[in-house]
Amino acid sequence: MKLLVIEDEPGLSQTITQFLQSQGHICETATTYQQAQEKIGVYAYDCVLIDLMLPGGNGLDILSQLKQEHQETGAIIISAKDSLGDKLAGLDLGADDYLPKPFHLAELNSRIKSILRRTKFEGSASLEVGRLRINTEARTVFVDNQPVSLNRKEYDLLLLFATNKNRVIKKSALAEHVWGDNADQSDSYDFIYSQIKNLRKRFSQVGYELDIQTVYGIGYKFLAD
Amino acid sequence: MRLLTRSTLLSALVFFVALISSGFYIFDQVSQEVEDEIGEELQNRKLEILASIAAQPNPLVTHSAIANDFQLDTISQAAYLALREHMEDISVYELVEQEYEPHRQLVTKFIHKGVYYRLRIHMSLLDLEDMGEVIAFSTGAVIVGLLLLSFLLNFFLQQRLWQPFYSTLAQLRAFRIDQPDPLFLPTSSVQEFKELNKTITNLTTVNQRSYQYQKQFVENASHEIQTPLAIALHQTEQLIQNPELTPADAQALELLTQQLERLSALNKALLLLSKIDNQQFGDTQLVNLGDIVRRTVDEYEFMADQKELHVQLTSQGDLKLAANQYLMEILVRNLVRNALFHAVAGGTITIQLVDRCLRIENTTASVAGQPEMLFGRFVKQSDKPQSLGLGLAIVKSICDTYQFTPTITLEANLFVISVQF
Repeated sequence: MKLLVIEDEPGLSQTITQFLQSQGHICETATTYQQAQEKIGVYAYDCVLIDLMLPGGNGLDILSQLKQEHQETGAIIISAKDSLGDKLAGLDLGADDYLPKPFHLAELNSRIKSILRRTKFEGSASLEVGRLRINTEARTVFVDNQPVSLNRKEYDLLLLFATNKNRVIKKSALAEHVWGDNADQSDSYDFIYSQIKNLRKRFSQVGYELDIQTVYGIGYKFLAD
Repeated sequence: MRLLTRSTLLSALVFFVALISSGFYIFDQVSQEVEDEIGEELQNRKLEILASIAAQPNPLVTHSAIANDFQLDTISQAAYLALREHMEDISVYELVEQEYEPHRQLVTKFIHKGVYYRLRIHMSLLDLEDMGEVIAFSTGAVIVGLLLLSFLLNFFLQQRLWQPFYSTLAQLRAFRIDQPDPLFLPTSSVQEFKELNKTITNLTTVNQRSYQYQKQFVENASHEIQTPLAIALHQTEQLIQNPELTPADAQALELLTQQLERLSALNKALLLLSKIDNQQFGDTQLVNLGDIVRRTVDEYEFMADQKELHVQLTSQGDLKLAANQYLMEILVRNLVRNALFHAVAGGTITIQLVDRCLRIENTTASVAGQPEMLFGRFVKQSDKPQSLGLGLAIVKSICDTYQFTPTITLEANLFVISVQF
């Protein structure tokens, strides 16, 4: 997929780009308002990441230009401001998602994939990982066409693992993905383990071994083909 | 005591003393004048009596019977020589009034045809006494009148004069440094009030500005810190993907990640606090607190299960508040998390939402220090070093925004936080 990262911080732009390329995407960058305008005017992208505060202008204007010229392109606002006003304005202008900085790359990955699924397959696509099939629209999970019943948290957890298969996901990224973006959150990391145990149990009930490995003390990795 | 009351009382006291002493002074002056007058009258009378006696062969016989205002006695030569003419105060029994009345008496002497006489002439002082009474009464009346006048004058005049001052005071009382509204001090033609208001306006403007700068600084600093933090966190996230990491490197990365995440969480919490303090959560709606409490308890069920906590939730009806939805969720979440985090394993948590009051109890081991201190920033228990110590500070800040009253109490092994909405 072809992505554009509009971000004026070179360090952040670089890590995001590297990460997206490692995920097999073609990734371009724009660091100023004008650059972004030009690139959007000339090329078509599958998904665009837009930082709101740009030298030369506001990312929201880029967003409205993008949505006028390429209705089908997905857009994620990445903002340091984390303000409700910006979020609402962005979503009103047609942004598909809003991700406040600092975010986890695993989370970004999950959100981009979700948007691509929606825009490329008109929402009907399901996510297939090995013997697993996840219908993201209906939030249902199947192993070899056999339904697995998961509660909301277990489903969220599985989705993050599935969209980041074979990658180490930090405990904090899992915690934030499932329990939301909380401040004083160091207390919830210990509970990831029991949630993963529960998740494994759900699958072992239908005779499927969910291969989630602990990686040192840092996080977990979902191994799948 | 109010300035007005004090000044009125003081001037009334001064008036009172001044009027009382002036009453005494007037009485003294008048009575001296009257005494002088009576003295002269008595001298006149003496001359009259002596003149009428001069022609009489025996004054005693002729006069003592008819004259009721004097007494004539014969005295010895020695007594005559010893006697000096003088005035004295005596009491005379008055038949009409049937009581003793004060009289002034002139005692004098003369020789008539070789006989020594003593003459005592008296005159009633009643006039003077009456006059004293009159003076006392009238001064009294004047005192009361003047006091009342001064009191009223003082009160109304001062009240009018001090009006700008009280109005300034009322404004200052309502003044809050964390509110952007400027003061509207009354204009006054009085120089002192003008200066006072000017000084206060300057002072509050400077303070408000530096307070705003300080708040803005925290917010800006937090924003600036976010980008390098994000980059560093992304780098660690990429580094841990390396399958050939040595255990030592992995451990170092884990520690690095932990600390960066801690910093990031701290930064987020500070940003949230500064946003709450900066009133950046303006949009208010009718928030159903009961819903939030139930949802939050449900969301953190995993934490309760893990620690084998018994959670009891009682809510009587649904409390609806006009507030910011997001802030109310943070408020409830922080309180519930706090209880879950600090509850001893296997303990009980009781959550009640009754009568506009959210009360959350958890069984606890021990809490050191003043319970109210726990609302402070960076206050945490030493056995929980991973806590940021900002959870309850955020609760306090939200409560301050909406004028809710949060209280912490310790009852035996119970830690109780309640918020009165």
